[in-house]
Amino acid sequence: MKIVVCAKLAPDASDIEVRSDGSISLERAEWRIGSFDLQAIEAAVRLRDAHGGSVTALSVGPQRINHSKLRKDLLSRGPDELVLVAEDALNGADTAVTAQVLAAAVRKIGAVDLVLTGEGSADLYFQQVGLQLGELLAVPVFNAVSKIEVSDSQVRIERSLEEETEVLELPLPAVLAVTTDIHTPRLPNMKEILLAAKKPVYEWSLADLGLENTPEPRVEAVSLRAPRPVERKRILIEGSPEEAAQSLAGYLVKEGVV
Amino acid sequence: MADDKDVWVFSEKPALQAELIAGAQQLTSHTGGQVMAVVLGARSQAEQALEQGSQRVLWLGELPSGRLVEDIVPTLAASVQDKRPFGVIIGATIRGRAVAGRLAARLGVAALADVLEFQWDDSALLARHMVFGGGAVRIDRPLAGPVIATTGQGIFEAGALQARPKGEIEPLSWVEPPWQAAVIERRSRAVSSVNLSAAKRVVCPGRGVARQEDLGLIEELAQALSAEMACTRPLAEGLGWLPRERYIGISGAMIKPDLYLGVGVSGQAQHTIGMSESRVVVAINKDRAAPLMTQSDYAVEGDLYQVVPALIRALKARKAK
Amino acid sequence: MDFRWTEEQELLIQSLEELLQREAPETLMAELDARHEFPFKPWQALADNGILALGIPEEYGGVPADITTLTLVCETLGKYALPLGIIYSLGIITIRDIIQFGSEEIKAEVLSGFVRGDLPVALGITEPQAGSDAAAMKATAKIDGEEVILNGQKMYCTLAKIARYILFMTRDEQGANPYASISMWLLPTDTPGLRFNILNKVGWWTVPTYEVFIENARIPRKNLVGQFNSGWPQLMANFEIERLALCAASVGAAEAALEDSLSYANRRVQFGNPIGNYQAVQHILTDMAIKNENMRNYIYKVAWMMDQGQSVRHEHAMCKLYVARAACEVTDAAVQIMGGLGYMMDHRVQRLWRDIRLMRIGGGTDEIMYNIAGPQLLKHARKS
Repeated sequence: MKIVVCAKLAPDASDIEVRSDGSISLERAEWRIGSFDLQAIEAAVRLRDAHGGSVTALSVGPQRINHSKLRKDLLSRGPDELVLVAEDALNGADTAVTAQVLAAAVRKIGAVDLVLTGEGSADLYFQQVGLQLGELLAVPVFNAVSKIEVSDSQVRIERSLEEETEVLELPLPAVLAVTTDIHTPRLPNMKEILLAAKKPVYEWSLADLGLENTPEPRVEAVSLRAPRPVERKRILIEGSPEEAAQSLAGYLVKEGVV
Repeated sequence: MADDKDVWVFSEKPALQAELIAGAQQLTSHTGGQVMAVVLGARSQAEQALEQGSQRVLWLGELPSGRLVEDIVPTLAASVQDKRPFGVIIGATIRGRAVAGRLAARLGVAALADVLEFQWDDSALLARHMVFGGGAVRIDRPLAGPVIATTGQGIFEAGALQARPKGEIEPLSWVEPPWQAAVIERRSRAVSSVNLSAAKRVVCPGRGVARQEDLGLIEELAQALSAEMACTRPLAEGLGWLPRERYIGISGAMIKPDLYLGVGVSGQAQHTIGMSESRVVVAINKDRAAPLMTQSDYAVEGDLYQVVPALIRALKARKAK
Repeated sequence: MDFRWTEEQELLIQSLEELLQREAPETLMAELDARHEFPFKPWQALADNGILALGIPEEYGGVPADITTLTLVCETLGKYALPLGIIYSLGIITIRDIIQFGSEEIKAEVLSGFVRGDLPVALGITEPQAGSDAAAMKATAKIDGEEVILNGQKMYCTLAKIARYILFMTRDEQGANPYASISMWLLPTDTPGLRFNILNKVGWWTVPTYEVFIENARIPRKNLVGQFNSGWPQLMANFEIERLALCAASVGAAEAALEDSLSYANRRVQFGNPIGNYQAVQHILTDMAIKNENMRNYIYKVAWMMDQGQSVRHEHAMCKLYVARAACEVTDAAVQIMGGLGYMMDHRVQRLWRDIRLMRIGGGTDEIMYNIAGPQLLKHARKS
């Protein structure tokens, strides 16, 4: 079966720097594969190993994502090939733009049976590109997928919902956004890392996808700042466990929470 | 009904719907339109939406058997295209997000996800949400209508129920979805009927707790404080020690209790963002440098296995007095 | 001069760091140390994720890796889980001796097993009367048809009992030149006639060291590794890389010690200030950082030279001498920076301090390193 797995390459959110005026800088952050996307890649690779076929990794974003180390990182985790749409016009693209570009790329890849995405991107976590993508491709699409079983041209999935696990059967092709508990992603070993450099990478422009102009943005990010921290008392209670417990109990009574 | 002024709400959960209606009222007080709840369910549920403050109900009827909530997307999209509301606020449950994402794609817009607050800049709507794993606040402005947004539980406060609500219940005609998923099975998950958003006091164990059995000790503390048990995401999703509903964090529950007591919680941004507006924050940790320790009102540096029993004793002694 | 790693090396180390944080977190390493328990699960995790395959020939399940990459791996292991770095380093000499000198049968058996997660082959060389003077060993191998009868006593044989094999060195007492009379045998540890006595050390608690008594142990003659009486040069061929690997692990440990010290200095408040504000503390920390930087540069220079095929006869000895002492100084300084906490079993700095102390003795003592380097330096000077 032909599987496409979408992964976002973006600056590592844990490396954000907060400037003194409260604004945010990601300039020194290292670009990585989104942690939730790693689960999707693992799920795709396991399905291919079980059923045969191929896994194409797909990533869209600014020029910066077309970086040798990022390509190798993606390909060292099991996909057979990589499609990149790397243009600065896609810098800060909103979910609608991203979904449209992904949809165009999936159509160009052609004859795709299954598209997998992660729960959400590691940096913004809006949790909707996968869903938008499925709708644009006019195929069945579901989120919170924790198990995937393929047979013929059907797929049986389990969704981990808040109060229940829902087991559904749907026809392929489909788009599935997987949860974090679907699989523990494998760690790349040296053999895979060395092989990665030899796997094919296709660099497509927006024009190659038939998108003469970048899709219109639907959302404007007006401001990005560090959250204003609530001022805390920062009282450090010292002493033996007994003493500390007594002090703490006293404070809790004074605060009126006990 | 007015063009580009009405605000629709949808949630398959009536309690969340009540909150969304309150949130929508904040918006319609600015747009001058009406709040309309899209209701999937029996007529009594449609009436309930009017009691919750919806000025009008768009009623989908009950979900036909074998169908999913998500199957309403084509119907909802058609109605939105027909009636042209200002926006649709959808409750941020897993199903809600699925509906929102798919609806946004059909309407050619992007959904504003997990909105914490709506603001107005003159006539432009702004939405605030957290990004970067809780490390930053971003304010977005939708550039195209209608506005599709999701909000979670506890963001808006539901208003008082109206005793004798007026308002029309307008049935919507069902648009057959182009594809179908067959429901094979539904398995309930052991869900505790916990409502963390309503808890006034919360005790939260983290990875400092070594074994699942040790949660009994934390439970004892929670009882001594008349507090609800919460946890950090790894204890729920990773270790499976506690149900998902109990984890606090950017992708879990966001709460504002009077007391948050973290036991062995390091205080990663993704977690603290879910409790940072608690009135009183207490941390117990072996590691003085753990982020939560410096972001708390009271911090006890010590071994939780000694401090927690001592605290339980101290609290019980006070109660006895 | 490009000091950067290749992208492949960066990706490998990224993956290894994640593996170690997952499979060998500090809490586990501390617990294993307290219980004097070998890290079997973390070691197997290294195998399962292809780390042990590095540098092993592909036909036995290995993946090509140059010495620089192996050094990087050792440094990373040393930083996150020093025992794993130590175990891996100890194995390098025996595994490489097998690769270079072992028969097909031996290679197939031992190397495939190692890649799958077998413990490294232990090295049986030191004896009660033969430490630095290793050639004074007295263990014997007597040919008896298709078998060989081994006798002797080995000392400070790390891993021996729990490993599958010992690379056992014997001496032909009739040989005039000791360095041309030593042979190398693959001795399975379940051979009848072997007795193990565990030794009680100050550190390396998770890596057991034994006294081994060998009494008429019979092994097949084909267990000879390499040539008869060629054991000494065979061993010497890989002593350099073993010393380099031990150095790399030590550098990793020294980095861990510095990290702990910096973190502590930023947090510990005395006399109203974090102690890192005081110059005395800053001086100590700076010296530690300089030593770490020097150690790091030295090990990678030697690794590079080896990858280039250059001789490192005295360079590696100087490197080992420097790194062993500097790592001891850095871990000792870390204990000092951390004050009372540095002396507590609760914190890992004491474990690093105890474990690193052996580096000045094991793998070749400081004094022997001087003996190697000194004459070489003078020899090179005479030529010019």
